[in-house]
Amino acid sequence: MNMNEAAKQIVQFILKWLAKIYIAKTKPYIIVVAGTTRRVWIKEAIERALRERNFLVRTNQKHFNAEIGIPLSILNLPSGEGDVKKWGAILWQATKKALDFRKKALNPEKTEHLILEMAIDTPMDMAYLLSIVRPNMVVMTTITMIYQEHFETLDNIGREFEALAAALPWNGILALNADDARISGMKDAYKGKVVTYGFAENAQFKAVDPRRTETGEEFRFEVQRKELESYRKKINRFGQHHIYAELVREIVLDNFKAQPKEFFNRMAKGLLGHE
Amino acid sequence: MKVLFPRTQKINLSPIKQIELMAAKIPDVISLAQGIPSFDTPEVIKKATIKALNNGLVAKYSLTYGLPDLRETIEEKLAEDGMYYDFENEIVVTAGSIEAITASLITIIDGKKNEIILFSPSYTSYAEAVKVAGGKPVFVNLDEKSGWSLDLEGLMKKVTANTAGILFANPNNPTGTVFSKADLLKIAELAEKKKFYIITDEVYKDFLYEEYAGQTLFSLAQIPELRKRVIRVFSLSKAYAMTGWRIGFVHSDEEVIKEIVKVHDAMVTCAPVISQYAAMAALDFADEDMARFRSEYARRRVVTMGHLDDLSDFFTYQKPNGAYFVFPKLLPKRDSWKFAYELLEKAHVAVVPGAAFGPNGEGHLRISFGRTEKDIDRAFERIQRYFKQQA
Repeated sequence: MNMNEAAKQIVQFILKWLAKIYIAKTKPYIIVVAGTTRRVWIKEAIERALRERNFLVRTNQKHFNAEIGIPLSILNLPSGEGDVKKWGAILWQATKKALDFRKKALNPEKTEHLILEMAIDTPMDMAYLLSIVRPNMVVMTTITMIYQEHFETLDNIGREFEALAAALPWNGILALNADDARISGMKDAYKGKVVTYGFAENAQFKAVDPRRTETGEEFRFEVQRKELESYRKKINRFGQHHIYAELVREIVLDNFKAQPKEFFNRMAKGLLGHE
Repeated sequence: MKVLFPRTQKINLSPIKQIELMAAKIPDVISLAQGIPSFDTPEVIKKATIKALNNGLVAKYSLTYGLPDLRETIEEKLAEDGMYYDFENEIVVTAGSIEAITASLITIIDGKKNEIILFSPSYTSYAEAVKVAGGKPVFVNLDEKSGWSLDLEGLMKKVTANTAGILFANPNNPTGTVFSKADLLKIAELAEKKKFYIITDEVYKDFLYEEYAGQTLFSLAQIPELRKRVIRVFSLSKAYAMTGWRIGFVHSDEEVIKEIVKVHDAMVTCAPVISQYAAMAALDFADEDMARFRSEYARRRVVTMGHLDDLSDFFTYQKPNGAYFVFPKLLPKRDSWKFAYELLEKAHVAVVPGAAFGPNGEGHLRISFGRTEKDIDRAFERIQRYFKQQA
């Protein structure tokens, strides 16, 4: 192990524990988006939905999704990249954030919904990430032909992601892409609430009859509530992944009800600037 | 006597490379010929690439379209510029822009539909790429007096039933012209009416100056209604100082891209995977470096124009609004090849003769201000000395 690698391990270790303390202290609602592709649009869709519902929302910065990025995202800090001085400052700030137990820092009205992308490169990566943070909700996207170098098969990647489902609490939510057999198969890994989305016949939040128009994608959205609800939706973006993102947005809207009282409380206390 | 390889006999080695080959034989030569940035690839890109290499991620082919992660990043970057394309089906990562252009040309050229309109002057390799694709380059002169802008009437006259497409760089190489939105829309209108494709090469889009500084380049690829007509090409070579990495991408509507990708697959299988990882880091983390390059080029542009102003008896020029080239006219009118050779031999300064950029480029030179300020100053000192000796 060279000096750089040793320094990285030390930073990683410190950040992991500071992030764990910060989570234990602030108790955010954690939504994890995982899979090999499409994470970024799903993450955006969840963020939009939660903001529509007036929740305090924070997402991880792009590519802050692995062993160092996840704690930095939790602590809302930038990366020091290759600069030792910068890392020193970041670790100091991380310590202050994690160990600030003043009343102001513990205000429940500041409790956030934290949306985190999680990425894996090698086996056991997910176990490490779960040792830092455990999700309240998991949205699984796809398992496609990447990351195969260290996993040998896509099935092995699927098993790595399955650890997320198993990590959910009894009152969690597992949202699965019904069109990806490896993902939809994860439903058996969790005994709590499982919601499926996609084009498949058995998807609970379903897209039907997709059409491409000159300005984007159009599809019929179907969901079985008390009665079957069905109406056409239009997205000004191109690509099926935007349809999937829209379905996940609907799942979030369905599961997170509006919080007008909390919103107005926060507004009265001038806390909205923190969003 | 039977001519060997009759088809390739008609294709020329890029005059820019010819000049560079000649320049390489002359000691202490200063080259303002090739459009290579003077900068090294940013550290953040190199580090990410080394990490991918050490993690064993680069030894195998990627999907023909390119790494999904990279294409997702490209989709996001395009969306920031108001262009909406599907990373799964509408973006192909290529071995630089010239591979993207050649694959696009091979796709759109078919039978009698074999004429490709090129501006004159325009990038030297375009005409050769058209010939490689089995097409015929048809030149339309740009109007020097109005800053090398589009001559719409001239263009309309050259469009025939055989026109398969138009290919241009915006900003233009070698003139640095940024084509106006109005002119681009006129091209689009004509393309819709006459049913030909538009290949827009926007490798210099990040280097805009004066009235365009701070603006996003207008692209026809921003108009959803034109997405089946427009093929847009971008390379990371110039924006991120990555000419040697050979990495770029092409995007268009799915119905066009699904054909281009077949040609890309036949030519290169996939873009170099190591360079794809580098591209991902560039697009995600190197925008600050690119901004630094831009401000440096802006400064060098002013320096270069200052030198040309000092030599106003020998050169006149249109101010470039983009890219990092200036295309001065020789005074009095001279043979540009002869003059470039002479400058190389006697002043040890390499520039590209204007004739290399099409018939309308004759009597001009292309000078790159992509090189360092020191090189620019030294080259112009030598040019000045050359003219004094000639007097």
